[in-house]
Amino acid sequence: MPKQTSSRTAITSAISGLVLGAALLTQPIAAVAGSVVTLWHTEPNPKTVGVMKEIIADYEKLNPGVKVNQEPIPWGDLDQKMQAALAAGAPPDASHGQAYVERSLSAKGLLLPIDEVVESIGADDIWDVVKKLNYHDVGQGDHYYGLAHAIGTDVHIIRKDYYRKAGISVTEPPKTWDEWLAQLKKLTVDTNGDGKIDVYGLGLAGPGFFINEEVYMWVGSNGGRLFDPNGRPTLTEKPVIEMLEFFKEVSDCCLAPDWLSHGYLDTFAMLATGKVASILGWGRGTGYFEKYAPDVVANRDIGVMPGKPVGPSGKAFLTQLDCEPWMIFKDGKNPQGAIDFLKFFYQPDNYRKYIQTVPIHFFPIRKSVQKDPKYLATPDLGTWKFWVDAQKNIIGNHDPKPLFITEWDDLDLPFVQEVASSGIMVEMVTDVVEGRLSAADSAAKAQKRTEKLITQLGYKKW
Amino acid sequence: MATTVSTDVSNVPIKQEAPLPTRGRRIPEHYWGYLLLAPAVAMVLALILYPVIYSGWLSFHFKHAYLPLETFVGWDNYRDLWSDTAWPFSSADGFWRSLYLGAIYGFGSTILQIILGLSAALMLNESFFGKAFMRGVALFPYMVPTVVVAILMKWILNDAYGILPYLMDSSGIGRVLWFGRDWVMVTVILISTWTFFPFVVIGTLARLQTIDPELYSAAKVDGAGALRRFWHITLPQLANVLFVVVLLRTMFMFTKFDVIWLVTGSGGIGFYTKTLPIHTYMKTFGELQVGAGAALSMMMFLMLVVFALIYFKLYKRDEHI
Repeated sequence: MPKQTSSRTAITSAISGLVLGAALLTQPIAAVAGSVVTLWHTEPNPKTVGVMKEIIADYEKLNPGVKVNQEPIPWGDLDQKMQAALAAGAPPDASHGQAYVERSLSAKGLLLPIDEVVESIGADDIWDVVKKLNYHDVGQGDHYYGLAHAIGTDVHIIRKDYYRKAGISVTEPPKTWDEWLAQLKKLTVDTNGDGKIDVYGLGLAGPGFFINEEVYMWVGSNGGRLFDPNGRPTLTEKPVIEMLEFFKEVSDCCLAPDWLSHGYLDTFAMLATGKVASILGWGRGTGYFEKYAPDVVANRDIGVMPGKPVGPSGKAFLTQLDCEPWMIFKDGKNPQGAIDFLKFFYQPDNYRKYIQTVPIHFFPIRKSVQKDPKYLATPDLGTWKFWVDAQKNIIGNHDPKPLFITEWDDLDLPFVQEVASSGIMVEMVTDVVEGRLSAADSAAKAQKRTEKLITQLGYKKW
Repeated sequence: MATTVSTDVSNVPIKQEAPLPTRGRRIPEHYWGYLLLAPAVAMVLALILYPVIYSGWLSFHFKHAYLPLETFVGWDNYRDLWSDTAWPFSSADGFWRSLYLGAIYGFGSTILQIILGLSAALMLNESFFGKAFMRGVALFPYMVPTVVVAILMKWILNDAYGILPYLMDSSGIGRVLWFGRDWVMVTVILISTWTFFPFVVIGTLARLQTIDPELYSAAKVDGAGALRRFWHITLPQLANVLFVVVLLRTMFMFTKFDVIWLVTGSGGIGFYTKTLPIHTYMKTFGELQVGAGAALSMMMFLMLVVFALIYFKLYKRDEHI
């Protein structure tokens, strides 16, 4: 049988052709990528997504050839998704994030300054607390490395009908943890006498992100902090151990037995349907209550406490300031495009429309928008005025702080993001509430793990 | 009209093909074989061998997930895994506990999938009205995206508003906290079983349809009942297929990430379902320690290789293969 032969020249030509073709193909792809802006935001509710769509459409009309993609991501999933994207070298162009994430990423040189956006608004038109969070130096002079999309605070939301029934004040918050615990016990009841609890005093969300919220707020309310001025974790200190013991007591007496599996939105559903008498949460809950418990809303049975209780070692309560900034990623495909879009986003009419999608959760960062008659005419601001007032009171008088920040100086620690997303604090809590370890042992274990993590990351300074 | 076609071609002269006109030097034919294999080999090297080698290399380093922090640490990452031996398993949070949970999840869900899948395949191999429709229905769980399964199951089983707890409670069966600490692993195993048992159905049903019916007829004549026919005919005939199915399902379930992650997540109740893939993910993308995560994944890889070798050896010893 004859040998089949072919030309080496032909093969070489074919390979060269493929390489050349591939090289040519990448050109148009790169060109297209340059005109696409990718945004991640944490407002997956249909109303906000719809308004963002409108804003994007208007922007695209003004900027032919530019395409803006929004990707809504639930808060609980954002940190790890962002970290995975950064690890893959493929971050979005802009994203929401926690204040500590902005500090961590900017300290690592991963973010672009956002000064242009601030200038387009006018720094004087932005609330001081917003500027304070994101204006700092990472070795190149002071710059803004983020700008909050809105502000708000975590509050204690209650079912007033249940509180009244238990003989508990609906306007005066408990002053101490002991007082709060006594109230929660009263509110945890078997309503039909079948021997099973039907209403629990408190509803908490179980995913790690939300347990982190309780940890830092309760440690702060107990006069403690998570890190000392050198950045060393302080988990074995008394305020943390007392917090863990309190968590265990609350969990044993007054939380649903499977609360660790409840999502954040589940807690709203449970309050709306009367399975719990109170929750810790945010203004976005109003939309859920109106939708799923209109009768409860109509009876004005949803209330908000104007403050929170203080632990045995604390003097003032700490609650969370919702102040998540937009950040621009240096390694995004089109960071300048994202900056340009954000300038458009913050223009008064666009921004007001955005704020009005979740009006009780979102306070405008622009002073002028807060005074805008069109904003003030938002119907929800009338219905839920007490909620707005409670948040204003907290922001104005009680120094709320961003997630995981018990002291303002902690914002400068470059490893807060890693500690927060490591799950160490979450396991510290679950070890105690599930009875696996004592508070002291669990705190010691968490301290050791956190110190090891910070050391491995190269940030140990003690 | 009958026609005869001669099949004897031995005398037919073979036409010698003229060499193709070419301009350059000619390549011997056997080189073509290598050339044609080259893309496949390159793909295997690039997509399988390289990641394994790179993962092995990473496992000897401390490496941050996205910062240029990289230090050679020798066996430290492995030593960390090995030394994480807190006992009992319920109070540990590291490698051994994840291995233990992974073994419960992997073997538990595989065994249930085999039982359910084989039972369904046996039923679907019988003749009954609507068989074609039922075969389609049986494959349905496998076609539903995992994320949809997770959301559906979380709704159905939610203690606050789920239909199943409500029905169980109102019918007097009692209350089961499907996502409580005592039940969450069972829940995840059951969800996984429901999602993946059609894989077993597909594999075994295909083989069942090729078993010679005369074997069953002969057995019936000899007085063998249904159970004996299953034991002495069906099961041996299925052995080869079951061997592959068990091997694949065990490997798939031992490395399964999506179902567990979507149903129980990373924190809170996820503690009770923190199998090795979840632990690896948390190490890599939670603590951002890629080196430690790579060490975990290498351990998983080696365990699966050892499992497969033992499994093959045992099977060969029984002379089934």
